[in-house]
Amino acid sequence: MDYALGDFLMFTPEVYLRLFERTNEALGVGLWGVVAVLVTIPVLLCRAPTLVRRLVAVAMAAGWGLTAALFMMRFYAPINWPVGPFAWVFALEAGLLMVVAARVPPARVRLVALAGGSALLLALSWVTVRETDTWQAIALPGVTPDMTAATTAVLLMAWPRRARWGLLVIPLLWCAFSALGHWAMGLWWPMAVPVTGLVFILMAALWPPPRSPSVE
Amino acid sequence: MRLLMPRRRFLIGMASTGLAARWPGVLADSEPAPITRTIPSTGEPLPVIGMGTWRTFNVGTDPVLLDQREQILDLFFQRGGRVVDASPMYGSAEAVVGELVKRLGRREALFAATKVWTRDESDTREAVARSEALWGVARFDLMQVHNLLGWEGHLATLQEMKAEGRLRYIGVTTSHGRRHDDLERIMRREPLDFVQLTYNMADREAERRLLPLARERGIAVIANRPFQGGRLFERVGSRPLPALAGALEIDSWAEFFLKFVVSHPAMTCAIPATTQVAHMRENMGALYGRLPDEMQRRRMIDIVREL
Ligand SMILES: NC(=O)c1ccc[n+]([C@@H]2O[C@H](COP(=O)([O-])OP(=O)(O)OC[C@H]3O[C@@H](n4cnc5c(N)ncnc54)[C@H](OP(=O)(O)O)[C@@H]3O)[C@@H](O)[C@H]2O)c1
Repeated sequence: MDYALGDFLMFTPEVYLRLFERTNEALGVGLWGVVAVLVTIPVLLCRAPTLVRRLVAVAMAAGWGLTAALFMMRFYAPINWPVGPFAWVFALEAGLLMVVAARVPPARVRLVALAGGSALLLALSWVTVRETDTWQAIALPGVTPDMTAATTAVLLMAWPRRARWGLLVIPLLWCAFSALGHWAMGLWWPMAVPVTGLVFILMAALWPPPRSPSVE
Repeated sequence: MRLLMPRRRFLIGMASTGLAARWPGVLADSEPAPITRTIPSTGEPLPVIGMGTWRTFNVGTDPVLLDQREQILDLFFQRGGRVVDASPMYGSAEAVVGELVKRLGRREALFAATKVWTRDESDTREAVARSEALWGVARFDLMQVHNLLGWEGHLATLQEMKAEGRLRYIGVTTSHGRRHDDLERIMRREPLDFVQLTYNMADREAERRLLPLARERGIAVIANRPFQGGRLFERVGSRPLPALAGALEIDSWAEFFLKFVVSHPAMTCAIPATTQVAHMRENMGALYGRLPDEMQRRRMIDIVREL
């Protein structure tokens, strides 16, 4: 008789998957605001001048803040003790991103890279829809923690390496924690999100610096 | 015309749909009596099937899941259940149980059992007060030290609180076969009303020393993980019930596993946990009918061993 990883899990997969629906429900029409921001980010990275491109980091910071306050603090923390402290760590990441927004702009990103990245992230957003059979469970970046962390890792590749590394620590910790949780729940498809997030984080840590100068 | 539904199941069905409550006169004489065991320290009877809440009742503030869990708890009470076990360790489970018991207006039926779960041995009274607020009860029926965490300090305070009339019963818990030596020492030394430990058809370690000791010392025993956390069901898969089940009026594997647990002479109550109304119905089946005797228990063990 001994402990298995699943014995440490405090809640059922059903309750976890409902968090996505409940968060989207709580956002109401605000969800469309998030979608609008998400659509704007690639446009900014592709076309906007340096000063405006800095807004990408501001949008990312806002996403980490929103995820911390709503999904994590309001819905997830009451059923999973470690998530409460993690929500504060998410708020810290939001702060760090604001510092980066003020100091280092991202480089311009080529359309093909943006299209590839967006398609991959969209597919990941859909995993919870597939699992629950309702589009209301869609996991958007800036709203749900795994997608926020994974998307951040992808976007950070537009920044010079020295600006990236510090910002990758919190996504790394979260994705590792979340992957373990999914493993314990036996949610194999949704586990793809934090696991892909970990791959993105590794890539972002090693990816060469962007070719176009980040400061114009 | 033949009656397609066995009489016992018909009566149980009536009880669980609430019809029995509406027509008490019709069923008053024929309602099967739940199986009970007495708490050795007072002689108070308790139904042998209770309910656990680890994981299953940690649904936070989700309105959809709260409604669904309300149905489960409602059925539990309708079928004669009383003991509900939780812990501050179980996330929102204490708050959820408190909210649902209030909604159902079932405080009178409830035997409220929770735990003190903090390393700080001077925090016992505050911990009890926090749980009382979450459950909405003025006094717990049973307060246990969770997994023996800080048990010396907590137990001393719980004894004081019991003497003051602030608690009805006190106890300690372990699970997964952990710290049985410590538990044995505590059972020998301390005046406990209850112990909670893991006992099921696959984990029978407690039979060697702890269950005989509980009988000797007059301590009530609650069996946690009576389905081995659900793994026993994986073991049986879709196999049909053995012939022995018919002789014992057992309708499901859940009932088979639970009747084994509660038929141990030292056992007071088992606390299976579930997220499903249909499973609660099966589990509460073990509260009625016959329990296996010693020979039948041995056959049950052989059946599960051969799976
Ligand atoms: N240290 C401690 O104090 C301690 C430690 C462990 C447990 N406990 C207490 O003991 C309680 C019971 O233990 P547990 O929850 O770990 O495990 P358990 O009751 O042995 O098993 C629960 C599992 O069995 C499944 N199940 C329940 N009824 C079923 C049925 N009729 N048919 C098929 N599957 C069924 C449930 O799934 P469904 O949801 O699908 O029904 C759930 O996955 C806990 O809830 C807790 O209150 C205390």
